[in-house]
Amino acid sequence: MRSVFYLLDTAPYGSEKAFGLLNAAAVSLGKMEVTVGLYGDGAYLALGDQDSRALAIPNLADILRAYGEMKVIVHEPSVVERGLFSEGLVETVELVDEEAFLEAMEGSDCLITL
Amino acid sequence: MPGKPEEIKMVSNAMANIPRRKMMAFLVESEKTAEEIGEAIGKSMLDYHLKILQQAGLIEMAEGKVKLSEFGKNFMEVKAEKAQDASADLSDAKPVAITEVRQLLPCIADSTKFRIIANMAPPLGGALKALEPLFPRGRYSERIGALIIQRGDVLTTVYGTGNVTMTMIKDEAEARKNLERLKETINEAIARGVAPAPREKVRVEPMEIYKYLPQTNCGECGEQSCYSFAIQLMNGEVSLDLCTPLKDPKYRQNLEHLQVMAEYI
Repeated sequence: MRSVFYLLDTAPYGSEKAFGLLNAAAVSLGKMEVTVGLYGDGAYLALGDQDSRALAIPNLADILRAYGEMKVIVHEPSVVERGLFSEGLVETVELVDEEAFLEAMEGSDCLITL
Repeated sequence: MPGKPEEIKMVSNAMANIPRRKMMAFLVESEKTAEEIGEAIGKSMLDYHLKILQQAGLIEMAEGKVKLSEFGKNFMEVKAEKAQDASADLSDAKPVAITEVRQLLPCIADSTKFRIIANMAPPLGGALKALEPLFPRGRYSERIGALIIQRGDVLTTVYGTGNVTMTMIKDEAEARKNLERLKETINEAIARGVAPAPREKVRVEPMEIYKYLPQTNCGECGEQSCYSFAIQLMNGEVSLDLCTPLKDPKYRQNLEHLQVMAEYI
């Protein structure tokens, strides 16, 4: 089975990138080995307590929970740099260090970023 | 010792990392030098991981030695006890209500079905573990702090934070019906105030697995028949990936069922 790494390095709201990326990752489940990697401002997507109702767009943290089998790794230095380390994160995400993040990215057959 | 909500979250995030979980387990045995930890767990980013554990108050470092702090020791002891003790406490749990059904998302295997996300309040937190015996096919996951329940084709995940997800749902009405039943089951147990006695789990049988396999007996997995593949799968000798015909789009629904079932093998 081919493996694909979806990289999100932009903020989850304010554009459709994160939403689009999560949809693409969800439809790849079962057909490919999917890993979603959150890097830089993409790390905000890991925050557990999101409320997007005022924006009238779907809650992206809910999408991570709904597709619990989706492997989601978060670049931990990005979390720490943004002062998010003492915040509650979505239960299904795994924090990884710089090297493990790079390894997961390089070890995948293809890399998709929006 | 961590007590404030942000400090507790920091501990939880410190443990949301595989190498750090291994380091903590390694340190339970005795104090170690950084070199010993590096040799046993891996030298990659070692200083960084130790610093995170130290900041979370889980370890102490002095004169080249690393050891669990008093809090770290308690944390690991409680974790070990929780893993063995199925009778978690329900006395502080309050009756729950379904506050909202937030989203309907498409199911992967069957586009006519949905995955839903709802919310249950107040959050049940660790009390969820005590509820595990209520469900013949229920399993509490310590890693994600959630109770995963299988009933027919529907897989329900109740998170300690109050979020609830369900797969293979026909429409919102069905989701609400299932959520209502879930709420009643949980509230009945909370009203009794005692954790239900652990009961024997319903085991997945090879025939049940076989039902969802392609039944072509193609032998591509290395087994003589799909039924022997089902038995091997039950025994944990093979993984679902070996069944190549299952990757055919026409078996996507079967694959999703099998993935759900694999959670209970």
